[in-house]
This record gives sequence, C-alpha cells and structure tokens, in this order.
Amino acid sequence: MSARTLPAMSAAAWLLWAGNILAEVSDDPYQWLERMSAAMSQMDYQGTFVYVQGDDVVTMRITHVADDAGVRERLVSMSGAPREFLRDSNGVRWVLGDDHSVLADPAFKRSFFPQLPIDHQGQTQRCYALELGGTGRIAGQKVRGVSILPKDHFRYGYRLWLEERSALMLKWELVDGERKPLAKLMFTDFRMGSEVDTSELVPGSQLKKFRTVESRLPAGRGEAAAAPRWQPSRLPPGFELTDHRLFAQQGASIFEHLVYSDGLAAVSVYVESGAGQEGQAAGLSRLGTTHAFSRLSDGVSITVIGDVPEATVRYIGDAVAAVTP
Amino acid sequence: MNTDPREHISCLMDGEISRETGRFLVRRLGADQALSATWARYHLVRDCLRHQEGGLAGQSLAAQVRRAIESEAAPAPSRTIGGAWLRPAVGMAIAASVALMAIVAVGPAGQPSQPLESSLAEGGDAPGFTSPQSLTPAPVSQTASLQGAPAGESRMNAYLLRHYQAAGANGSKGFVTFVPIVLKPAAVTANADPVDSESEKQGNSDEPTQPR
Repeated sequence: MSARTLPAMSAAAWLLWAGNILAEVSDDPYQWLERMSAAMSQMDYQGTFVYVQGDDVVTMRITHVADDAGVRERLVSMSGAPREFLRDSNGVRWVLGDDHSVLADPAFKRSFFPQLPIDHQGQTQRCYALELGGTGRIAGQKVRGVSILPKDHFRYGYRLWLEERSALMLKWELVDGERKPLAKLMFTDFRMGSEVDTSELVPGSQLKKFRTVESRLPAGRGEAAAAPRWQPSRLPPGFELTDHRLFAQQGASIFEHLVYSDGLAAVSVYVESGAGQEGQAAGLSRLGTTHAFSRLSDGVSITVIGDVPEATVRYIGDAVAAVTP
Repeated sequence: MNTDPREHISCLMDGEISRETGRFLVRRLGADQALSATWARYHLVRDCLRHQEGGLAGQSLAAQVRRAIESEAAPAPSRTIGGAWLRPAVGMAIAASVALMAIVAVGPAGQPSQPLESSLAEGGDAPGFTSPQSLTPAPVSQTASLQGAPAGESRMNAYLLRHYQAAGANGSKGFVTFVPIVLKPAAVTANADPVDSESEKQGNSDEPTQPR
C-alpha cells in the first residue's frame, strides 16, 4: 500500500465518520469547531483563497497533505510579490519577495491554518458566545456557519464557514468587539481527499538555496518552574497564565516570557533587560491584526504582543511591574 | 500553448482543463504577475456573480478588493525596505522575517498617546470594513532607517516568532492565525511613542474596564 493510498483511505474514513455523526453534531457549535480543528490538520485538501485585510489583498494557493511522512503543506502566492511557504517535518522554508531570498526555520512548525482547541471547561464560554449559523455555498461546497463572538472589546471574534461533510474551513472572518469585519479569507476553489494533486507540494527552484534562521532570543525552556519576576498586576477578564519561561543570568540580566490566554486568543509578555539600549521603539505597533505595545521601565524593556485589539496589549503592558518578594 | 492564457485560466476555474495543462498554468501563475492578477480578478468576478459573500461584506469589500488588485501593479515603495532587510548579508537572520510582517506604528510620534477609551470611541464611526489602525488618530510614522532602530525591529520580529511558537505550544490554549504569513512585504516603519515609564501608568486602576 503506497503512502499516497493511506491518506486517501483516511480521508474517506473521515468523511464516512463525519457523515455518520453529522446529524448528532449539527446543532452543537463546539462539536463543529472540534471537527474543524481535526479536519484541518488530518485531511488532505487543496485550494485557492483570497485574503483581505485593510488594503492588503493576497491570493494564495495551499496544498495540505497528511500521510506517513507527516503533515506537509505548501503555500504559493498567486498575486503580488512571489512568495512560497513550505512546511514539513523539517520545519518551514519561505521564499520572500522579489529578491527570492529563501529562509528556513526548523523550529517553526505550526500549521498555516488556525487551530481551534476549544475547551469545554468554561473559559472560552466566559469570553465568547458560540453560535451556529446558517448554510451556504462556497467554492462549490455546501457550508455551515459558526460564529465565535467576543463578549467584550478585549478580544477579537471569528466567523467561520465549514464544509458540511468534513468541517473543513472554507471561509474565515475576523471581527472586532462590535462585530465589524477586520480581515477575511475565502476559498475560491477547493478540493479534498484523493482529488488533491500532490505534485503541487514540490517546492519551486528558489528553495534549493534556503538558509536557516535562528532567533537570537534565548532558546530552550529556561527556568520554567520559576515564579515570574515580572507580571501584569491586572488582566482582561478570562485571561490566565498558560506558559512562563525565565532566563536569568548572573547579575541583573534577564529575559522573561509569559503567555496569557483566554482559551482562544493568546498574548505574550516579554521582559528583557538591555533591550532598550538597542533602539527598540516604544509605543504601539501593528502587524496586520496583531498588535504590540512596548515601554521601558526601571531599565528593562516590556513588550506585549498578541492577536488582540491594541487596547488589550496596552492594558496589559501598562500594568506589568516587578514582583515584590 | 497558442491559446490566450486567459482562456486557459477560465478553463482552469471551470475545471475544464487537463491536469497537466492545469499544473503548467499554476506554475506560470506563480511567476507571471499580470496573469495572476487576471486570475484573482476572474475569481472576484465569479464570486460576485455567485454572491458568495452572502451579503456579509457587501459591495464595499468587493470594491476594496478590486481597488487593491488594480493598484498592485504599482511597486510598493516600501518593498525595497523590506527586501534590504531580508538579505542574509545583513547578518540578522531573524530580521529577515520582517518581510512577512508589516510593522506599522499606530501612535503619533513624540506626542502623548490619546487615552484608549476616547480613541476607541472615536473609532465607532469607522466604515464597515476597517483595520484596527483606524481606531486611533492618524499615525505619524517614520521609517526604521531614519529611526536608527533596526535592532529594535529585529527584536520585535523575534518576539513575534517566539509568540506564535509559544502560543501553539500551549496545546489546548491559544488561537494563532496565519495572518502574518500571508501579508505582503510592506512598509517597515517604527515610531517613537512616548517612552514610558511610570508616568503612563497614571489612571490605571486595577479594575478591568471596557476599552471603548
């Protein structure tokens, strides 16, 4: 049995299973989201989508295959500067811009598509309202809408349109606290299972010269068990500490990374000594819909980053202070 | 292939093309900007005809998409900045990732920031399809090179990469979009919002308030 046959069978099995339980989950938005999360990582699919955010419009083509070799994804820009992204067990390689620079990061293995690990413990429910929407048709497929709407202005919400049988996401929309769209993604053609042309996974010629990218931030887990030396004195409702890494050297030099999450949105807080001397700008920055807020305090640089409204990164960043023993 | 490539694109969209020709066309689309713009336009036209937006975004989105695609042919002035940052010779490998990430400062340089509550309230009249930037006063930003802060921006991008990795490592926590990866290499700007310190903490109560 070839490696290619296996994913086709698993996709068929997935569709069969999904079809059998469709009646049971059709009214439960949580189950739709769980199915979507699993389908986006486990199924084979391929398609072209348009992404719109502000004045940026990008048309891209994705091929996603999950087989014995693990998950392989390739994204190719169809408009604008030529860009190509390839993800496999070796990490990620990117072809960037007009100069065809190729970069690789073996540590960056996340999927290009959003994962939605909804918890049932109530954390998500406290901050978001989940609603099942109507049906429609996208890229020739029947879809079902699911909305994850924020209950305040500290976080974004999402509207998703999922293919009825498999729960694969065919349309995604990011909305603000007033439910106005901030960014949108929609497939314009889509195929899955055995219809996927895996030859599109083959990277372009530019990827032959890739080089490894290494962050100069401290690597490893650091003193994960150590208590935070700096932390915000207040957090928006629903946000809890989910990860903490402390790298402290002899003397006063420290690098501390705290991650807070409300179950969907995540915010990182970085505290670093000496960073301010390297010309780091203070204030608010924006990267698409991701915001960052930086300031200097007592000789350390404090930076808060997250895919949340700017008010949220500022709210947290303003409250970060040294923990008094 | 003597036929007009636009006919092939049309056939590709309709699924009326052989797999081999389709493969060839997809490769060509990746290299030919004019053809890929045609591809995008055809999709938009088809989507509008089929009303795939379902009325959610309305005509404003379609018009915005059309405008953006039409203006795409003009080279973005910022691309040079991004490209220069990307060259390995710069010696800051992580800074190269900035080309994927358009960092745009949103606070006015050298001026005290407007209180969040009022700035967000003003954003209430924003048009239907807005970016978060419109929620703030008009930005006064400078290029990174003028600021002399490339190291700071490099660090910011290292923070971003680490954030995405950490958020994903939380297992059941975190929702990370892939927005940065699909953004075009656009302007790399930075600003000098007031470097705080304790003064900016004024008025911060411990009570979580709605930033409206």
